[in-house]
Amino acid sequence: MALLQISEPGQSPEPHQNEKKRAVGIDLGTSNSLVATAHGSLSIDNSATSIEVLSDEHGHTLLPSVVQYSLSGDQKLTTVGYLAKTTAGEDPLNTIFSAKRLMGRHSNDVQSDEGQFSYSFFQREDGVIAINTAHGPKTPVEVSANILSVLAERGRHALGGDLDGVVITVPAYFDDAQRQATKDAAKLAGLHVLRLLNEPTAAAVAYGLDKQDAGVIAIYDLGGGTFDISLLRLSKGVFEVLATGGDSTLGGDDFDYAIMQWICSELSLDIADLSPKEERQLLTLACDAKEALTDHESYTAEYQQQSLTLTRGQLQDIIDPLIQVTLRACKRVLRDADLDKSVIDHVVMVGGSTRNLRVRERVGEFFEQQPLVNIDPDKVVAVGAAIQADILVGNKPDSDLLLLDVLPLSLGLETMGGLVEKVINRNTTIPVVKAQEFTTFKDGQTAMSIHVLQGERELVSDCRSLARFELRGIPPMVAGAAHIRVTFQVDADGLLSVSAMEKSSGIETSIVVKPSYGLDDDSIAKMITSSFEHAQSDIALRALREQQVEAERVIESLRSALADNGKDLLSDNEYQGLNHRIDELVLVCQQSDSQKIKQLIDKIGSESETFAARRMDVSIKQALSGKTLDDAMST
Amino acid sequence: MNFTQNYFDLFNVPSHFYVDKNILSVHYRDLQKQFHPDKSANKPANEQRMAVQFSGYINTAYDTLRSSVLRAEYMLSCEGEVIDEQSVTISDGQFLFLQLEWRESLGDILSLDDNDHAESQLDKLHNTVKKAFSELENSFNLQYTQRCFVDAKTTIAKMQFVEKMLKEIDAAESTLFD
Repeated sequence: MALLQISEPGQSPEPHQNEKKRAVGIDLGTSNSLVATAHGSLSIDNSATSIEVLSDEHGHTLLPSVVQYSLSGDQKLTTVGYLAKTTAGEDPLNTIFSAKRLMGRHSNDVQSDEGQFSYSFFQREDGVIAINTAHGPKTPVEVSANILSVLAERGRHALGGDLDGVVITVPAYFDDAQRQATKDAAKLAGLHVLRLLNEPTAAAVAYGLDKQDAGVIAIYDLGGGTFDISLLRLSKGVFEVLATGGDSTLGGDDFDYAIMQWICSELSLDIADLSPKEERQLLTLACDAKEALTDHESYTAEYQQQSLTLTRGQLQDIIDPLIQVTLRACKRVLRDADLDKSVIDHVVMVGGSTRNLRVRERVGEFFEQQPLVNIDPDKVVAVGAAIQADILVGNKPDSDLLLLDVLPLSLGLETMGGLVEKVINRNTTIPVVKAQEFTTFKDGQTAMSIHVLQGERELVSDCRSLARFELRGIPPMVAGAAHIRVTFQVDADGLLSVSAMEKSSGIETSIVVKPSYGLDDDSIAKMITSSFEHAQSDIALRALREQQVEAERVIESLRSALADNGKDLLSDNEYQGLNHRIDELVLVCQQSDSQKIKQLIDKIGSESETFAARRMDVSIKQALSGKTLDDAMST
Repeated sequence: MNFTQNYFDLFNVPSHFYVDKNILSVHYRDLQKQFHPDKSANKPANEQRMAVQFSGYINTAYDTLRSSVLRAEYMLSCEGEVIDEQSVTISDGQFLFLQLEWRESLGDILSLDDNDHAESQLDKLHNTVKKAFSELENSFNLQYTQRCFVDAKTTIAKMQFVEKMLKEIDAAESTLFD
């Protein structure tokens, strides 16, 4: 990030107004990742924007999501992308594929699939999975951060400077732990995340379906390691996610694995006897066969002087059961949204695995229409993310586009008997704030342990444990007399924070849920520390820059708010007071004390609260004013 | 910004049990277009926090007004009538008998071997239950307008029963056809 320039008070109050901000959209995929950006002038006409998927110096847009941690003498070498992928067979243990499947996961979650990873991992004491490499243990978050860094560098190179913000896509089905892990990876790579965007929503945006008037769209997204199905309703630029479902552990990798199993049984090989290297070679073979059968009726593979032929028909028999699983999820999601197949206006295909003709055929049969395939299914998500990044960073103030997403999995609390009491149901539109009251179980009970879970099942043991924390100091009362109010808040990224309060005493505790499998801020700070040579000064500098950026936002937004209706809504004293604070903040920003900047920002935050509230009231009235029933009906 | 504002006022719709869902959704989108956190993604952190809370409040209000049961409960709570689920008992024998009957039919349908027959039977049951729900909505509306809040509470309890039944029928559909 470049050092921020802050103008003298009184000069050019909004220096960045005419300057396009640098933002990219990143599709952090299981097999491949991409980065895209919106070009174009700051014109009101949206059509002036064109999206470019950025490529490396060899013209490759896809970056294989593969990281290799090798040693060359004493030198540690970290290789990302094609080179890592092509040399994987030589160094399978240090080459990390599909790290996305381990993001935010507990080793129990992936035990059943462990055979599908050519490298070995273990569970750290704090519950985080770590992969054994020649560079020591690496967490999936670190691996993802390495991939993100390469993509961000492409963005910097193409846009000619540091990035103001990024949008990163995640499968709609990702739970809190997986989202948090993705955000942690971005933080580790030094990126400012504007939003985590659901992949299917990004795809719908890319198809420009928002320019259409209204309709219901199904997004069928079958990637390397995940499957998502989402239903969206579109109306005047607003995308409302109606329901989402899928399977976060099913994807094209499973096709490859199933084909490999078939090859092994044909060649009478026992998978358990394969070396990691042989397994990797066979998987590559399986993948080649699958891709070749898109254009050919049959494919002949050679393995250790044996050859065998796979036909399209055989491939169908191998993968049909897997496709069937995805169609069942489609049915479920239609039911969740209370919709019939017949009302679906478009079916959008996303993800490399939808190139598979059998997949297209079966999906077409299911929805009784031809699915849309005209945008490259590998690029469509990154394109949508770039459009959204451009809007969120502030380059398109007049854009009508708004994405209303939903919570993919229900959130609840553990109650007596190991049962889960749901507090927020899945498919609730986010952001959402919801409170639930609980009471004590025993006379004189002074503490209560709160266990937050995510999932659809009734039993605690069947749901994902997100966090546990304790509310202490409850005044002793008879059982059932204390009223503990637990408030869940899920933000627009789908990330949860929980606070609890005992109502009679006002004792409060709150946490941002850092799932048991995620990383707390300390471990992230530690990882950032270890990734820099001059750790201390860099961290201090980063903190200062972060605060300066934040201060710049505060100044910009407060100035424009004051200019807008400050004089109408504030007394002279209040108006002068806030203006004075702005000048103060401008001065403090020029010094290098991040703590001082932060304190002043907080102070301004609380002092301007009333003003913000009054402004919001005015805009609610404006948002709905002058709307007659006829207007409303005709929109 | 006022988190205690009446939901009907927030959405600028008449404070009436029967709400026009089209207008509701149009106004909902207008409000979110203005207050959704995406509109302040590049604003200071405190504005973003406020946007999350307010947008969340709009979502809660919208979810409440869209659901008949939640809307009915909300309307009573605005009159100071708190619904304590444990204290409302349904002593309407006929209603309870009907519940048993529905559950029995559902069990019978699930044990049918002929899927097509099961589907048509399930549709029939669904329609019957749905009709009963609409009748309860009517009763609630009447009781509410006449300020018979005790009766209205019982009606809400019945609506909850019937809604649960509808969900079970949906679930039965899943098990039958997956």
